[in-house]
Amino acid sequence: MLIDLLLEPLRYGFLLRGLVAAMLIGIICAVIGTYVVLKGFAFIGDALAHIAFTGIVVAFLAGVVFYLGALVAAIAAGLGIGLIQRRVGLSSDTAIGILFSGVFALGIVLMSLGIKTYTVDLFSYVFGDILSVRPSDLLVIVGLGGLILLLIGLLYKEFLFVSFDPLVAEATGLPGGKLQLLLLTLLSVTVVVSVQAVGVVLVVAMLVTPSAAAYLLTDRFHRMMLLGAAFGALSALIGFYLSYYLNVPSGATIVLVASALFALVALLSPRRADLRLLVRG
Amino acid sequence: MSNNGQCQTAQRRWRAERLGYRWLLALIAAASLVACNGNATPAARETSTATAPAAAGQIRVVVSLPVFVSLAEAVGGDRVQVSSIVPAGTDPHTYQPTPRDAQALADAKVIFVNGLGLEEWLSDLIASASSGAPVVELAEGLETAQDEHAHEHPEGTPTTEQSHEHAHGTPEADHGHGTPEGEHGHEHEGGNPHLWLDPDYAVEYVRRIAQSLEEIDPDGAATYRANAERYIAEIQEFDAWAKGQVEQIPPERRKLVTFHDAFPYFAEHYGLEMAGVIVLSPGREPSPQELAQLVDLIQRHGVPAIFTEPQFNPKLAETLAREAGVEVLELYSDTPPASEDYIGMMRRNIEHIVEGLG
Repeated sequence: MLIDLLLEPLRYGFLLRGLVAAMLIGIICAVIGTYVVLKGFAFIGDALAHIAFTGIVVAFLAGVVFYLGALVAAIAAGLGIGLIQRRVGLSSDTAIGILFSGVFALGIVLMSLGIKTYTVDLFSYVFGDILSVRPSDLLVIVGLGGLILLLIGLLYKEFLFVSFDPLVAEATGLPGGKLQLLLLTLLSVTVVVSVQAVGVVLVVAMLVTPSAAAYLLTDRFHRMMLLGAAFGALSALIGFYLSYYLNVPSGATIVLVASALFALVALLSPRRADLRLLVRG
Repeated sequence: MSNNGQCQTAQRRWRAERLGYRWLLALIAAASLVACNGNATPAARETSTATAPAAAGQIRVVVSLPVFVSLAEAVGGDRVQVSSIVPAGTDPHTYQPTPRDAQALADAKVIFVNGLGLEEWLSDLIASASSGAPVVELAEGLETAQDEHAHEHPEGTPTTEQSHEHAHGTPEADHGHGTPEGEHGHEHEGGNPHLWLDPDYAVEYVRRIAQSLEEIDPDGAATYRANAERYIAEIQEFDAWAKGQVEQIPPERRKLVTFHDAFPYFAEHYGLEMAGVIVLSPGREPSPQELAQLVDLIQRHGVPAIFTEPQFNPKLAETLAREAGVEVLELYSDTPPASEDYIGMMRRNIEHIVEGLG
């Protein structure tokens, strides 16, 4: 009986693809989101998505592939944020805010200047919908996820070190700046690809909420990553079926499930750890 | 005042991007405010000469959507100079006006809008920028497809009671039954606003444009009347051809699934059954069940093709079409394709319908 309920939506290829994509993105975003939560720039996901919009406008005007424009813009922005932070010495939130609003506004102005003929709503190319995931999108997500998980697996210690103690890290001979920029680049790629596939609300939530819930339950960094990934995938799974049977949009439902999961954990978790404990952990 | 209107419209735009979260607003609020305060009034003056210059004595006419430009030009001929607020190819549901739009409204002698809530985002701008020129709602008082439509097409959009039942039974079992009491999709107040896609209503629009122009410019009354009659004859000639085209489609294949709910009047006029829409209202995300039911419906009814509109991302329509094993074609609703007038746009629509369904 239950199995019938679980299988019913999966008769449709596009719903199966949506579910798989949501779970994969839940995992990928939570893994990289662990750094996001601990570094405290939660809204970088949203910022990068809007910066990608400007990239798409430029790509449209220049006649190149949208995806390329979005990726280049987001990676450049990721590097720019890193640069503003290091050179000007502003907090990452401020750096993100400056770059985000400026670049997004540039996109709006460019679109108004450049588009005088019939065209599509370019916004819709930045903000995908989990229910319109194509087989090719799924391949991209799988490839990207593999790459990100591999890189983070290989450079796990280094990333951790430069994220939390950049000065000591550089003193021990690690290329701190380069590693940080690599991490930002990975984040940019993750955001562009996932947002294009499943929509901005879901990606922003998946970058933050599952990892934050995990943070309340453990003081070990790798456990936080694994728990976060599990929370992300679980939210996607539960949210997907809820949205099917309650007949409401999937992306938003998945976000709500993740939020509810976080609230539950926050209520039940006895501890609120200090950030530094994690690093020493 | 003009600043205010613009900021409000801009904010509405933010919301319309279906981002669904407010705190973005907080972040860019400062930027927006600066932009709005900084440019509205002075920039509007600056660009006053930049609006396409009207030849001496020409009457400036502003319309809301590109599709109305050709109607107003057909009636006004050389006596008028027509511009559209929403540029060609932009989704009017999310368009963000510029200072030049405010300028055009301020200079206009008459403003034609569709009405029925389609240009609600524009009303603040008109109120603040317009210098008291009459605003003519072309669809005002015409019969809309609000309730009547839902009853006529019980299989309509999968939002209603009906859809709940689908969840439990197999869709096949649910076939044939169902008297849905659901509202039909589009959330414009006062019924579905896309009346002009029915040529009979377009004729009515033309008559109203002629009447308004006569009132503003009595000297040109004879010209306007003659022009209107000529264009109405052209529309009717097109309509006769179009009906002949649709008749070539086998009756059981005359079923329409469109991206957003712009075509109920069109469908009604040409005897097509409005089988379903993908997105009930622009920006409203469909649920997985709604889409699954739409796929079932397309297959069960043997709908041969689904239609998207060029201003929307075709991804969702393509995903559904792949799932249901049908084709995707385009229809035009708000903007005619480049260098086409209303009739040219409608001709393309008929051609695509015949190609997709025939």
